[in-house]
Amino acid sequence: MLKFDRFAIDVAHYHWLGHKTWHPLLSNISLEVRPGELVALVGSSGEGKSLLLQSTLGLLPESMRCRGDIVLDGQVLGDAAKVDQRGKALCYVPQGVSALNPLIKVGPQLMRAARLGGVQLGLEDVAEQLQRYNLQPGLVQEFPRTLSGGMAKRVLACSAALTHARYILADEITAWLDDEHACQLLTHLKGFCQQGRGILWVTHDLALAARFADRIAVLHQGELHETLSAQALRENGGSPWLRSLWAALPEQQFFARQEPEYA
Amino acid sequence: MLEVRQLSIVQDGQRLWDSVSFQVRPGERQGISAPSGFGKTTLGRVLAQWQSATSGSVSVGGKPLSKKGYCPVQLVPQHPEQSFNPYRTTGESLRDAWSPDATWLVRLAVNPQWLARRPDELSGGELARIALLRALDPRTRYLIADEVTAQLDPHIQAQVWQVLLEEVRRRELGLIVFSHNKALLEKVCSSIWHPGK
Repeated sequence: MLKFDRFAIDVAHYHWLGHKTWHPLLSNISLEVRPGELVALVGSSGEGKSLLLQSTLGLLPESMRCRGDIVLDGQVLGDAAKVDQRGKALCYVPQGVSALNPLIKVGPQLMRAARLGGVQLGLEDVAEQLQRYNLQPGLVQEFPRTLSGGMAKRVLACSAALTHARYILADEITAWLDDEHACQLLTHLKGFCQQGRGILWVTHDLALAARFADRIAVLHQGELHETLSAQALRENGGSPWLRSLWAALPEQQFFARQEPEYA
Repeated sequence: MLEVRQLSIVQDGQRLWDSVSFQVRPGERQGISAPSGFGKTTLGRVLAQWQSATSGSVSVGGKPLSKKGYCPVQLVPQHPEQSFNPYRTTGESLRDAWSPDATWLVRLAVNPQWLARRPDELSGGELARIALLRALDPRTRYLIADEVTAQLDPHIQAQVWQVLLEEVRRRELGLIVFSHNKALLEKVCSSIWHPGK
C-alpha cells in the first residue's frame, strides 16, 4: 500500500540577504492507494497535484520541501529510498511530453526505461508492447519529434507499464487523447490494477474519472477536501465544490454559472 | 476570410494532409475533430506559418500570408511549456507580443505574480492560460486553439471559453478549435469538420 501520511509541501519565498520563509502549498494530505486500486486525484489547476506525485519520487525542485511521511508497503520512504525506488516499485508518467529524450529513438528509449527498472527487453518486445496502445510497431525506429501529443502520451504510459512497478503515478495520462484512445488506455490500466498494481491518476476529466476510477480524491485550497467512490460521484454525491466542478464540464451545463451572449 | 487552398503536407515521408481546402470567415467558430496522430497540430502550425506546407496556399483577405511581421493567424500550442523561452520570465515573453492590462489578466484567471516567474516554475494549466493571453493580441484576426483547455480544471475551462467566445463576437475573431472533447466542440463551435471520415 502506498500511503501519504499527513503529507505537506512548502514553497520557499526568498527575501533579502538569503532569508527565506516557507509557505504551505499542500498540507495535511492523508491518502492511500491500495494494490489493485485506481485512485483519481482531481483539483484546480496549480493546486499542487503534479508536485504531490513528483515528491513521491524525490523530484521536487530545490525551492520546495515536503513534510510528513510517504509509506510504501509499511516502510517510510526516506530521501535516498525515493530515488532508489524510481522505476522499480514506483513509476511516474510525467505530464509534459518533453520528458522523452529527443535524441534517442522511441524503441531504444523504452528499452532503456525498462532496463533502469530492472527489466531486460528486446526491440521486438517493445514493438509488441506499443501495439497494445494502438501504436504502429514501426514507431520504435522514430525519433520522439515525429510523435503527436496523444501518441507521445501513450509512449510515456507504455514506458511505465514495461517495468514491474507496483505503483504507477500517472499525471494527466489522457490529456490530448481522443475518447476512444483514452478509454482504451484506461481499460488497459484497469487490467494492471487487476494484476495487483495500484495507480494514482491525476486528471481534470471528471467524466472519465467517474467511469474508470475506484475512488476519487479531491484537492481543494491546499488540503484533501474529500475522498469518495466513483459510484458516489455518478450518483450526484460529493461536496458542493465537487458538484460545481462537475456542472462546469462541457458534457453538463458548461456555461451555467454565467451564460455568455453569443450567437 | 482565412482561405486554405489545395494544401498538402508531407512530413517525415508521411502524407498527413492531401489537397485540403476550407475557409473560415471572421466570427466563425470552426471545430476540427480527428483521431490522435492525424496531423491536426501540424495543420495548425502550417496555418500559423510556424512551418511551411509542401504545396498549396494559406491566405487572409485574399493576400497570401507573409513570413515577416506579425502573423494575423495565431496558434495557441498544445504544449505551452515548449513555446516559452525557459530563460526568460513568462511576462517578458508575453510582452514581446503585447501588454495586456489587469482586466485581461482577471478575465483569463491569470495571477500577475506568474508573469514574474520562469516557465518551469508554473504548472501546465497556468502556462496554458498565459499562452492563450499572448495569442489574444489585438492584431490577431484568426486564432487556432490546439487543445488549449486540456490541462485546465472544469471551472477555468468554462471561464476561458467564455472569454474566447466574447472575443469572437466583439472583434469578429475567426476561431479554429482542435479538440478531442466532442461535448466541448458541440458547445463551442458553429460547425465541426471531421476529416478522415
